Amino acid sequence: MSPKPPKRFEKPSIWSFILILIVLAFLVTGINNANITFSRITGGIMNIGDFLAQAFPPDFSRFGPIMSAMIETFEMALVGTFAGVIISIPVALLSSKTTNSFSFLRSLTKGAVTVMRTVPDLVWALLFVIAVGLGPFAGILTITIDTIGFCARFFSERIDELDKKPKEALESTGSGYFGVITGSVLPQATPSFVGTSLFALEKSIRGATVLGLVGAGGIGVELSAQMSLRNFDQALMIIIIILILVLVVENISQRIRAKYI
Amino acid sequence: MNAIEVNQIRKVYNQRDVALNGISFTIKTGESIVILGHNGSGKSTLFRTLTGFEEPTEGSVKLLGRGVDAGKRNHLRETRKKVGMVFQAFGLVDNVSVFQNVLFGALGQVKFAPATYSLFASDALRERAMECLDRVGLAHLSERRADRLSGGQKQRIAIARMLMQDPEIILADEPIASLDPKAGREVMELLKGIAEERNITLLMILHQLPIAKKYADRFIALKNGEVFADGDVTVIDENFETALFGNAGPEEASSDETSQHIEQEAKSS
Repeated sequence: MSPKPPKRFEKPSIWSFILILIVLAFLVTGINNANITFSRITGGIMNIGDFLAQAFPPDFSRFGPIMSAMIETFEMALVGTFAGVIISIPVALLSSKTTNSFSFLRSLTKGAVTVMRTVPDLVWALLFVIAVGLGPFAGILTITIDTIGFCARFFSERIDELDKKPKEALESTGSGYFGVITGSVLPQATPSFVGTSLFALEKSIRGATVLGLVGAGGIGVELSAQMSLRNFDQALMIIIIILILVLVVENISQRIRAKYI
Repeated sequence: MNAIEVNQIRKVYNQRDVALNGISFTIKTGESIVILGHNGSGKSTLFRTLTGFEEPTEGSVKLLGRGVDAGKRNHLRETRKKVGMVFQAFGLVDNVSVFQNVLFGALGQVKFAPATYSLFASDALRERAMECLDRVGLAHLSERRADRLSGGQKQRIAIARMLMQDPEIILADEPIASLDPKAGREVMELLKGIAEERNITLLMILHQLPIAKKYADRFIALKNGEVFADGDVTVIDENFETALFGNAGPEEASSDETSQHIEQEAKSS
């Protein structure tokens, strides 16, 4: 007689079972609290229809001021991402085991990066609006922090994965720590850094368009104002301009990555 | 003068695995030496100890009269500046040019590391890099990316990078183990030629006896982490092979294409 095949289903442990029950409870109460009804769904579709009916044709009469807000948004994203990427490089070197043998310092840096990444950007924006006031500077600071949270993590993971042999070969020449970093770690990691930075820029542009909702500058202020005033035709024009900018930046970024990375 | 002094080196891993057990030898300036031995005989551990990548459990190493102490980083850096190393896996930075890789060989000599970047390097340094590339016969590939080269070319570029140090000792860890026969022969000729013309002490770690006989003056054979024999390469014969490698020895010792090819050449010359 041949041996028995493995069980079709492994009974979960008591803790897994409790966890599944908790998640299921939240799922059920969540659906219940959202008050999802058929009439609300159909009503919602009608309302979207109303919005589109009022929004078409989009109103381009305020194209000039809207474009200047859009440029401000792009600049916020660019400056914030640039600052974030530059700061991410030393932060990543401190977070990686390959380049930092002090485990305490490594944990400290990794912890700081985790905080930057896990706190949502709108929360950072609210904090920076309180700290430096309304306007694009708060937006730039928000994007900088958000970019560090994103880039420093991926940069340090890339450094951890690098081929260690060139590093050892350069150490063998009598090179110091910074020589090994500039001669081996950075040249090897640069293509990946550039790719990650371009992703960060795309992410920042998308993020920057909504930062205005909490007063952190950019086109979000305009969008929020036009929606509140129910000027849906102007709001649609803003949405179209945001869409074009995001698509253009994504397209350029994709081409750069395809060609050089 | 002694270029390399190894005194009673012991290396024990996990407090029980003895990789090196009381190794001692001295090597005079200008000598060409081969360290021989089976896989697991302690060759690589010895190489990593000589170069300061591993700290010995006991004993000491001196290169050019200076102690090799993995724990004293600045002292180790100073010692390494005149010691060129060649690795089995080349250790090139693949996504930069050949020329840039050679310039990185000067990292131990510049105060500010970016001074070795092609963009910022002095004219004198750039010219020296081209001289080193010319010596290994690959000046025409200076602008090519390192990952576009063959294995033999990569090893020659690694040798050019090492020449940037103007070394007094060359330590080569299985320099032809990853190469085809022709490339292996070129690399061995190059290493031997450079060592002879500049009176550089050459210490190679190999496991192929025919290559040892052709390119070294003296051998040190390791077995089970100890010095099994130390002498002139002319004493290497079949009895010695059997004693060092056991019954499976000669086949295994010459198991790769490179050593078979060079062995045939050595016999015919």
